[in-house]
Amino acid sequence: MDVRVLSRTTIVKKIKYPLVFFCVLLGIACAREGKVHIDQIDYEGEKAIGVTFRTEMDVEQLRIFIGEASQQSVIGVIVSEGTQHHFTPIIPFTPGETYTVRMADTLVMASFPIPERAVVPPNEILAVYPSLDTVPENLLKMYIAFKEPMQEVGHALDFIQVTNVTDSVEEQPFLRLVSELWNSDHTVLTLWLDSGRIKTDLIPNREQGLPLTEGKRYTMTIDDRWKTVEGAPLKQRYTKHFQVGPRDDQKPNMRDWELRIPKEDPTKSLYIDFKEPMDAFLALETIQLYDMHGEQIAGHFKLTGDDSILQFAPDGEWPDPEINIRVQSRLEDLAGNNLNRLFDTRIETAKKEMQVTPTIRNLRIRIRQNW
Amino acid sequence: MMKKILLAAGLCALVLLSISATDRTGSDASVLTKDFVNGNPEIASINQMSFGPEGILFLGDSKNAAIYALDTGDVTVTKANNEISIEGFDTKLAAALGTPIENLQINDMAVNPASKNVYFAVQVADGTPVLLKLKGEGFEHVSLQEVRYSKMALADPIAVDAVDRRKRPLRHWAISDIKYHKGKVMVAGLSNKEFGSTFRSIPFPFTDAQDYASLEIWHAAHGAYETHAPIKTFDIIQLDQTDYLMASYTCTPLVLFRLDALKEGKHTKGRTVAELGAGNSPLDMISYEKEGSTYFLMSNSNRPVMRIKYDDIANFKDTMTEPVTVFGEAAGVAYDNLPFPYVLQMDNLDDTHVIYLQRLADGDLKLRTRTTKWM
Repeated sequence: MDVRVLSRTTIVKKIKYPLVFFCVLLGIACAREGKVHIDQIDYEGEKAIGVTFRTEMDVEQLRIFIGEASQQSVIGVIVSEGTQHHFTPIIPFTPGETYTVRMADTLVMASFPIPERAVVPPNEILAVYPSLDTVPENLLKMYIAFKEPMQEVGHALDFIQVTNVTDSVEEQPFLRLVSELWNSDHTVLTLWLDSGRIKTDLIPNREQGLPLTEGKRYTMTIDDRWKTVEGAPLKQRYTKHFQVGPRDDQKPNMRDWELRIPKEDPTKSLYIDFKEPMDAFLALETIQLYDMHGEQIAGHFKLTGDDSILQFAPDGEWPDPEINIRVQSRLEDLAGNNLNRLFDTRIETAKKEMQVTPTIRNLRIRIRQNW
Repeated sequence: MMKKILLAAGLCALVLLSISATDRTGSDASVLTKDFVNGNPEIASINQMSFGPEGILFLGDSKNAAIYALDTGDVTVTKANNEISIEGFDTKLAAALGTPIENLQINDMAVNPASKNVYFAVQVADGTPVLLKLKGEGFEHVSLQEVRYSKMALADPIAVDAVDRRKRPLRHWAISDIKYHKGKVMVAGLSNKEFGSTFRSIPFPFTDAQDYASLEIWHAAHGAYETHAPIKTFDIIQLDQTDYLMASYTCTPLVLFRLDALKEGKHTKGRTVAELGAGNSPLDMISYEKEGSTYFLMSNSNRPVMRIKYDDIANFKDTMTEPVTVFGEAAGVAYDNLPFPYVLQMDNLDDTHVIYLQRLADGDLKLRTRTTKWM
């Protein structure tokens, strides 16, 4: 027994120093190999498009993850220059998030936070159309115009609430579309009132009736948590009050329009009075003015008078004593009736309408030269 | 001797067959993609997508008002997997893109019939489009920057269109559905302005002549009314050897149009075959065969998946002119509600399986497949 004890002691003594030396060497090697040093976050403008790090480890064993709990690594491309590596994710890193560099998907070797964006000023709602406070019972569309581009994810209707104030009931008058109708800038949203409920005799119309009811008062509230692309909320909650008037079952009639160029107006503008409110965006884009030679007259349009008067201010003098106003037939009133047809059409009327469907209609106006 | 001759003739036939097969594949490929170019098409958005033959992916880009045909080169079935079940799908997707879930939106899902791979069009909050391919429970990035492609601009049927101060069109078409059928790319779109319907049939390979039809559609509702309306989703159905467009509208009537009657500039009147209920907007429409019968499936924003039998549509000869008399009852062709609510994306995975993305009652988003045997 003694012999064995002595023998072990001797062995331990003999290997003690080399063992310590080996462990120190191994430790240094491990520390050197296991170290991932974040050099910098790579930016392009304000976007964090990648990360540059250094390591002597096999980079194939490393993955980038969002946070510490995620099990799925971030997809991207690694470009290596010696021991320096650049990782570029498919989409830029998200401000406010922390990312980890892990070995074998689990062991965190390094982490790097992406700083929050600089605080951007809150967004504003520039207008909600129709801008007037009384709308027809068969109103078809509403528009919301924002100052800044809005985020391109989520559902707009989650931020919009409509209440029938008269009966204290929350309503859902808008059609929930998966492909929402935004302009290219993502600053103007088009909302359709549920067309199935507006169309006479369709099942939704029979079951639920019109989305808005004549004689009732409503409020439309837009949540201030609705964010822009830059993550800015609205400056404040937006509320629009409106009441519902009678049904509009007349097509816009150009014969009723009044054209005038007031002598006293220093802008020498032409005013087209539709005698009824029109679709705010179509009114601005479906009407063009031409001189007698067919050249388009340059100028600016503006919709006034509760969306019922279109003002055209020419950039210079009126070129000719007579001008031609070309109106595209797709111009609609608030109920979706255009110059050619009603939104809701009886079949026998539709047959007649289908025979006369010009896409452009013309009006002429004489310009008085004695201002 | 005779055996030798037969053997030689057989071998010759086999060689000829294989040559002709090779030739057909080769010539088809060159015909469909010969005008494709390499580079960055600068795709701004992917609203809808659908596969054509030979792994060609058609992308509908509303922001650029264009259709892109991408040569994915993905034409081989590597490992067919028709039993997919991925829970927490959006969590996994967000992790793979390194961003929180609320920063993303899945715009469309499409299966490549040539490879059975499942593709996802994802949109980031700032509008950046991303194309991903499912790989196991993870994803593989499909570049939109370095691709072989062809582009077709969706010219506005109305030539004189207003532009804003930065010379961009004020009118915006949201491409609501896109499908390839017999050499044509069919596109339905919603306008953010006028409430009309635009349906285009664009020959593929794309030509400079822009020889495609643009039309507005009338459809009959019950009783005495008919109205313009935009198509949300559609499929092609063959009845009596004739191809019909089966269109579903934002307000859910189902309408048939003869495809050969869809001519540029002409109003085409459809035949309403069903009205599918209230408060709903259709999402996707697919078809499948089972035990010799064809069925159509339609997913909806606010209703379960509906199943309609081909024979019921074929046998429904009348247009719907009689008003519905029973309150709350759908009319026209019969349909079944399948027990799959909140199906956000749906496509055929193969001949016998459907793949769909479903929001479950507990809020989880699940990608799963199901055999058509049980549908």
